[in-house]
Amino acid sequence: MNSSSKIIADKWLEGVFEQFEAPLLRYVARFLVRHDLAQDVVQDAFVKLCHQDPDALGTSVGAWLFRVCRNRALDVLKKERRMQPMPTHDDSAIGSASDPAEIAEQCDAARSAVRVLRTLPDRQQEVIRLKIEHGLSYREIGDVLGLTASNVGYILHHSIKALREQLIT
Amino acid sequence: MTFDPSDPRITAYVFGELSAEESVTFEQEMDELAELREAVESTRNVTEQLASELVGEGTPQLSDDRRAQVVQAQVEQANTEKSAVPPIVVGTSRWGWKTAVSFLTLTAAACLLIVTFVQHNKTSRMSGLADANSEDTTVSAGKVEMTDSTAVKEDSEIPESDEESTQVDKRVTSLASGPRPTAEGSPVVSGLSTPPLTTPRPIPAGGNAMYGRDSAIKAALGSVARKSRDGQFGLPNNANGQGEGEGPGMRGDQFDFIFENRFHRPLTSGKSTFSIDVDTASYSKVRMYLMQANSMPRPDAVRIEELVNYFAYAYDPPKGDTPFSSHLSVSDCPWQPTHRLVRVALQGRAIDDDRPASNLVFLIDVSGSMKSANKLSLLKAAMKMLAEQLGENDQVSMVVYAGAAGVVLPTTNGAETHEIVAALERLSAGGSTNGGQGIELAYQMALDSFIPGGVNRVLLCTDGDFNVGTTGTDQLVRLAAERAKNGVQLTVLGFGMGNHNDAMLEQISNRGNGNYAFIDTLNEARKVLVEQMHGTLVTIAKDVKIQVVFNPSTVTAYRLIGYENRVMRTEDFDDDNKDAGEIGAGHRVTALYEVIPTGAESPILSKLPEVDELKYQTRTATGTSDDLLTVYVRYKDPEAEKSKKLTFELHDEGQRFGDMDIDFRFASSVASFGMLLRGSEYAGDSSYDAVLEIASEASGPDKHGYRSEFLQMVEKAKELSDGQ
Repeated sequence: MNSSSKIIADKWLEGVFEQFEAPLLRYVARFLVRHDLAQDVVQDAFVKLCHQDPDALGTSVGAWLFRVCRNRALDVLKKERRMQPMPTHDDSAIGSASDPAEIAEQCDAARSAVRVLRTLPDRQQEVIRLKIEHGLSYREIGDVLGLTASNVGYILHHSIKALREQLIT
Repeated sequence: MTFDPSDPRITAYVFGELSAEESVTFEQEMDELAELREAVESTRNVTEQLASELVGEGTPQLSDDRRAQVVQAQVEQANTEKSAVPPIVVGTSRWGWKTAVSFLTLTAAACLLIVTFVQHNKTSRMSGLADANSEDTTVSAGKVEMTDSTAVKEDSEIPESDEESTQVDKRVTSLASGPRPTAEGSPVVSGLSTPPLTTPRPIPAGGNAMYGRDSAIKAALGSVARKSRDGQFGLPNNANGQGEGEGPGMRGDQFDFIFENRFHRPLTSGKSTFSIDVDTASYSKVRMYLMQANSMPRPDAVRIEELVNYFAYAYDPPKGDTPFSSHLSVSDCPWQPTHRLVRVALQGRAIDDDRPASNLVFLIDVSGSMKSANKLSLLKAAMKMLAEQLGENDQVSMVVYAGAAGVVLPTTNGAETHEIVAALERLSAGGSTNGGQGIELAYQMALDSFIPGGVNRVLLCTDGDFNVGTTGTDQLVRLAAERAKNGVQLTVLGFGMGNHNDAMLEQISNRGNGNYAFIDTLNEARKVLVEQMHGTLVTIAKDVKIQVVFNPSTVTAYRLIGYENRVMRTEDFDDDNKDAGEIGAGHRVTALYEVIPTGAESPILSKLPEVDELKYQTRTATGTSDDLLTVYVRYKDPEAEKSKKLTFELHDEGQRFGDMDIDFRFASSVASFGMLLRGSEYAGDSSYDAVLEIASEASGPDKHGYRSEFLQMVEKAKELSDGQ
């Protein structure tokens, strides 16, 4: 890589950082209640990206970042559980009511769709959020969750169908 | 053909995941099956509803140290690939991060100027993400340009590929407009990137128009130029007058831009209208910069009217039923001797010991950012002082918020001081901030224990760094404005420096029928919560607006000093629906105008626009009055919906500055100081020495030492600017 294209790569990294910092933090916050742990996970992912061969990112840098964050968050969650014999609210970390954003949702009657969303199984919620909140394609969601694109399409359709049915009634 | 509700193509079609052929087939089926069309429609509706709800969930950010780590990794990586160049040391020194930030903001500046787009070899990697984002309609200009800028940088370095550019352009724009929350807090930009942005533009007048301006700027800057969040004072003392480190948004705190008021000719705009402001937050902020951080405040942190209004001036109190008295005076202007300086002052009625029963809700931010020594502990001490003032007619409740909001003290009688203090003692910081939710809960508490005819007030104590949930300024402001209609007022107490969102707190308190003070020291807490407790808690008049009409026979041009973000449109003066400032018991308001009298020589005259003649009417001064100006004041009684109007006239008797009362002279020195700090083009002959001379002669008895403290601040500013 010559020096001029290296500068470009740096600008590119900065752009990626700007683009994904907040979405990744919000995403990871659904797994990790502890703010500092979530921050660590996202930081690690960006640091790892800096050292990553750009040609080995797979479908997209977004999918790559979400996948790295997810895997790392799940690792941290496992470790946290081992270290804390007292199972507190961590047991239901995904969709846990300790999540500030979700508490806000619960309090706000206007946010009915999100409230219904919270009643769905974790995996369905996650697919919906990756699709609608974060705008990933089926293939990218598949990358993140280790599923095929058609599998994602199937889960997403059924989750949204469930939402539609509950919202209509 | 039958309708299968489990057909995943329904959802895939809505998300554009079907191939071209599949779409054609699917649309043919839709033509034939009404149920299928309905299913698609309902899927689309649910998706849009979810998207709009999910988008408002805030823009969390990595903490300073973690961001620094990421930047370091980038720099290290760059250096390993350019091994001939010695590595730049980053990490321990904050300069490295700062450089990176400047680089970002430079990019931001560039992208605002250049809107062309060229093919980008890296965008293809991101483009996959872009395809699905079409549902989201909240396009933030900043985001689009951010992505553009990444590409623009490459313009000179990579040969264009025209045939691809259109396509990529579309993709990237759609990527950029993806479902990122528009709630940005207040985006900010460093001094480095301001030049292309501050092309002089007139200040759009009027309360609502102000929001328009703000949001336009925010949208333009978007997430591109972000705050550095480098809140502590780890930087070497960069007390330079104009250079880096002083642009709004550097080093963490967030301020709105201030476009300084200009001179106007009475012949073309004869009326000057503004909302009063008795807040003093900017003064404490400036003091904290100078005295604690040993650095010059950023120009946009300096709101001159808040500096001037910080001091207690001895205006005669009102007589009779009027909630305030007015005091007009004029002399020559110390920094521009051919000009006249006009003081318009209002003095609010004081109340003695018959303070109405008060229902106070302390809404306390206990998020992680409040941990630092100057915040939560100061907050506790301050609120304890207030609690000790309360009696059995009062009631207090306490709500805390961090990641979530909760009640930590149910409604408690004001006489139970120990219980209130104990609840304060128990507070500890940790977690993220969801200010929006806390405000909701606090207002609910206030309404639940509402005292009719009493003081019902939420006291929001925070560093204003809302980063979870309802983060958008507009949303919070709207919330506060809405609740103010129910008779619950708001006091915003800002604590700490570093990530203090001054702009947001000021707006919230303005719209929420409230006041805003910045508490930097225990002394300041005492001033706001003990000495001026009545003024802070008890509103004697609301929506107080001032309109000054200048006489073109005696005035060539005039300029309102300060009040930039309180300027209103002329027609808003008589519009009772337009919100304006409140005045508390014993509060006083001082506004200064610099006036060029007719016939006077002035360096400003050549800069004034000529009077453009109108086709169907003439623009000449008529009338025989030799008054200088007339002041109209509109206000509403605290519970009233209809405003009352007062009128005062001022005639220039040619008084000399040296003969004016000490308060007049002191206030003028404070304004002059503010203009120096702001680097104002209207500062004239001002200098820190001149300010010191006037202020020291006009300090009077200075019982609480506020004026001598001011002198120290001027000394410090002088010292810092000399070292330039």
